[in-house]
Order: sequence, then C-alpha cells, then structure tokens
Amino acid sequence: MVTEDELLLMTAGVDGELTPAQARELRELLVRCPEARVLYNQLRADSDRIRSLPVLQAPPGLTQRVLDQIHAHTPNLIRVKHTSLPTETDRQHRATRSRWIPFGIAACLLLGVTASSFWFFSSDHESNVASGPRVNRGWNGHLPADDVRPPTQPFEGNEFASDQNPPTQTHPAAPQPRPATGLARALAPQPRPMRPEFHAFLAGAEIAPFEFVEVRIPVLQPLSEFTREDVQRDFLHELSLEPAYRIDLFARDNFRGLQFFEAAAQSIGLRVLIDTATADLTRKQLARAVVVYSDALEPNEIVRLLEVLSNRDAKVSPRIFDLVHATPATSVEQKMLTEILGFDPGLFKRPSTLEKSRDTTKPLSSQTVEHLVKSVTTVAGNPAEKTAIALLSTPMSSRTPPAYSAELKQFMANRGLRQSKAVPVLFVIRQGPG
Amino acid sequence: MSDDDRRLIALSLGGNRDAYGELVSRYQTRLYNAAIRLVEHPEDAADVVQDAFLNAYQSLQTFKGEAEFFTWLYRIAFNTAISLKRRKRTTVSLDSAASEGTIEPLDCSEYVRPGAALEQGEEEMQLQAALSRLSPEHREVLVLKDIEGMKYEQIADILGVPIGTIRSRLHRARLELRELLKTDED
Repeated sequence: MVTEDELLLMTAGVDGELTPAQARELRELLVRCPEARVLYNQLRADSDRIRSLPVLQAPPGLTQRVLDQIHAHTPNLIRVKHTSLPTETDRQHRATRSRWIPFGIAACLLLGVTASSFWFFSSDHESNVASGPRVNRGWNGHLPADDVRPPTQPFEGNEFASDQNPPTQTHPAAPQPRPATGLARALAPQPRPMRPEFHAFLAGAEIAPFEFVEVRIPVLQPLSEFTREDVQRDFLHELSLEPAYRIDLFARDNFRGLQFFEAAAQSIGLRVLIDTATADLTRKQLARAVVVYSDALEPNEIVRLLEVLSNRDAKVSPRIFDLVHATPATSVEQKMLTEILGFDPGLFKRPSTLEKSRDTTKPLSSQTVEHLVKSVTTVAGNPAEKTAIALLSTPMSSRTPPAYSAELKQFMANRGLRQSKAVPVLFVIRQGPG
Repeated sequence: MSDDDRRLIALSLGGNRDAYGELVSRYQTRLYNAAIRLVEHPEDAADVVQDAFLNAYQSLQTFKGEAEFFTWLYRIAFNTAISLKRRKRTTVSLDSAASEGTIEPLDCSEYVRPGAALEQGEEEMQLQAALSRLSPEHREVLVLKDIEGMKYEQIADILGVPIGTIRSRLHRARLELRELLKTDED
C-alpha cells in the first residue's frame, strides 16, 4: 500500500523537483514496492503524453486582429496606477496636495480679477489717449507690452516703427495720432506673470500634456475567486486603504443570497439581524436589494466572510452569487445608511483607541460611566457579540421606519464602540443577471 | 526578461504599435498552446489570446519588468480564460455537455492542416478529454509544468500562490488525471 507521503514523493519525482536525498528515497521506494513502481511509471507516462501534445499554430492573422482591436479600443496608452499600489507616503502627499487646492483656487481667482481689472483700465486709457484708427494687435493689444515707453520718450505715430520685426504688408500703417494735450500718460504696472494652472486657468491658455493620470479601479471579482489566496491577499490590502467600504454582491436570488450570507456570517462569528419586514419581502421576491451593515468586522474577517460565502456558494448548482464589486464608501453611502438606519453610523469617524483610556490618573468621564452602565444593564443579546443589520434599501415608503424595527434596535443595543481595526462595511445583496 | 522584450515594451509604451505587434507575433503561438488546454474550443483559445494581448497592452504601464513578459501575459490570459468559461457556463452547462458526450477533443487542425482531425490518435483524444474534465486549477498547473516546462517557483510566481500550494496542486492534478485516464482505459 502506497502512503500519502510516498505519493507526494512520486509526483514530485515526475515533476523533476526532488532534492538529492528525496531522489534517493524515491529510488529506494521504487525498488522495494512494485505497486509504487507501476504507479510511478504511469504518472511518468501521463506527463510524457502531455508533453508530446502537438504544438499548434496560432490562427493566421491573429497579430493583425490584436493590433486592430488595440487601434479601435485604445487610442493611446493611459498610465494606470492600480489601487493597491499607492503607499502610505503617496496618500500623505495626496492629502497635503488636497489641503492646498482651496488656496490655489483662491490665488487663481485673485489673479484673474487683477488681470481683468488691469485689462479694463488699460483699454479705457488707450481709447482716451489714442482715438485714431487702431491696429488690431490681438491679445498683445490688450495687455501692456514689454516695450512700454517711459514718460519722457516721445510717442511714435507708427506703433511698429521701432519694432525689430515689422508687421506684414496686410497691416496698414497707423496714421499719426493727434497730440494728446492736457492728458498725462501714466505707466501701468507690470502684470504679474501668468501661468496656466490645473485648477483654474485662462481660456485659451495652452496646457502641457498630462504626465500622469491616476485611475482607481474598483474591485470587481467573481465571488468564486475569493477562495484564491492571491485574490484574498489583494482584497485584504484594498480594505486597508480606506476607512469604509461598500461591497455589492450580485445574486441570482436575493432571498437565497441573504440566507447564504447569514449562514456564512454565522460561521465567522457575525450574527446578522434581519429586519422582519425585510425578510418577508425578500422571501416574496419583492426586494431588489438588501443592505447588510456592520462596523464590527476587521479586514481579515471580511475577507474570510467572502471566502466562506464562496465555499458555500460552490456547493450549489447553479451558483447563487456572481460578481463582487467593492468600492470605498462615499458620502452617498453615508447618506443612504443614515436614511436606512435612522442615524448616522459615522462611516468615516476614527474609532476611539484604547490608549486614551489607559491614563488611570484621569477621572472617569460621564461617557465612560454611561458605556459601563450600558454594558452591564443591556439584556438584549450579548454585548461582545458581533452583529450586522439587514434592511431593505428601497425608498422609505416601502420599508419599515427605523424606529419600528425591533432588529435594528437590537443591533444598536449590541453595537457598542467600534474597535480600532474594524472597518465599517455595507454589503448590498442585489439582483444580478440570471 | 530579455533586453529585446524590454526594448519592445518601451517602444510600445511610447506609442509604437508595431513594436507591440512584434511582441504579439513572438508570444502568440506559445500563449495559444497554453490557452487551448484551458478552454474547450480553438475559437475560444483564439479569443482568449486576443483579449489577453489587448488587456496586456492596456495595462502595459503596470508591468514592472520584474518577471518575464510571458509570465505576466500568461496570468492575464488565464484570468481571461476563466472569465470566458464562466460566461459560457451561463448558457451551456459543462456537466450536461459531458453527459451528452459533447466534450470533443481539441481540434485545432482547421488552422493548421485541414482534415487532420481524422488523424488524431485515440490516445491524444482521451488525454484531451481527460484534461478538459480537470478543474481549471489542476489543468492550469499541469499546462504550466508539462507543456511550458516551468519550475515550481515560476508557476508560483505566475499564480501568486506559495510553492507548497503548487506542489500539492500538481500532486492532486496528476492523481486525478491518472484516475480519469484509468477510467477511460478500462
């Protein structure tokens, strides 16, 4: 009888990945065990058969088809930076840049107002001084030129008389202006240098081509892929980037999807409290989407939840779930949750850290006492239990008002303080294709 | 990665599509042979290769050049093949297809030598059928090991899993394939 270890040794031998000691061990095994020898030879033969499969030529014209497709779909390469790539330093830089945006806009506005004022007064002044026919000088005619004459220099009738590059013949020479008597010519101040900015720039100003464009790609994976270690690792990293997430789970059947989700959550220690009306409408296939909110899970638990869900889903045919779409939560999710839950769960609030409460020299605050009393007197459920609440995401008119949902009350009672590593997450189980 | 690949990639990034065309010509046959063991039909394999090259071009900026270009390309092709299979599964159940005996041996001869399907040996047909019944994960490691001739380390790099996982996957894949072939032989 060949043992499992011996089988491993044999397949590694077929793979050609044995150490000298293992190779010696395999040789000894093959000598002493005929059964192993037969199996080893068969495995070797199978491998040889795969190797001897004929090399097939790619279809003719494939290169051209690829190039045609590239031409049709991608006019130019765009630098794409994957979501998982930014480092902590990048984020700090981004935050620093974001802080300067209002100042940049204000500075540009001020510059614009200054330039406009200058242009206005400059035009007015010129029309008063030189009332004769004017040469159209375009933009340069409105802004003070570099060759502004000093007050002592006599005014030349021909604007271009002293220019290095005279105008073409199409521009008629300007007639001699009437002498400006009784009006003192004042020098306009030099304008500030004007540079096109990203956030605000003068119309017509040329912008250099972007050197870098960052595109954040949301996670979009089939649920079945969440059993793979690389997918789990990438998703875990993604969950560490933002304070809160929305994860859409596209299901063939919302009711079964919710059942599966509840069971998977239970297995990782998360109790899903399903609002009675939500359960009823979902069972009747009247719910298009169900929101499951929890702020008790840590990133690794969220990944584990999806893995368990994927494993359970794989046991049924056809599968209930299809794609998983995860994006950082935004103010839209915050608003939606506030409407559904009846209170703002504070998606983006930083959780309180334990360090603050370690200072024993400080007296207990009223909040701390309140939390202690609450934790001792709470009877509904176990305060240490991690919970989630499932509610309909339909308009207010067709769902239970938050105040009437017993499950929501229970969720609020159990919720407690958010742990420092916990990531608020909003699962949306929604009807997918099929 | 070879200097020539590096040069072609740099040219492609600079907008030279002919350079990318050269990369396509260079790797299409190898990728096609790998892809055809992952999907059911030659047409699907061609689609996989085509989509993989297109996707690779669109995300060429993200290729850091730490691994071989083909390694990176293969990863993209594999994901494309899985997506394709999933899409097709919504219309045709693999189980039902198998029960009806419709899992045909991979006949790519129409592109190479017309009429060659008839010449395909019984053994090869059995092997193709058995390979197509393996799970994608098992089929994938066998393709990379036996057809591409890669080491555990390279396979682990492509699939992004530990070497131990590759070893055990190959172990299970070989035993599963043996069982399938044994059933056919019986």
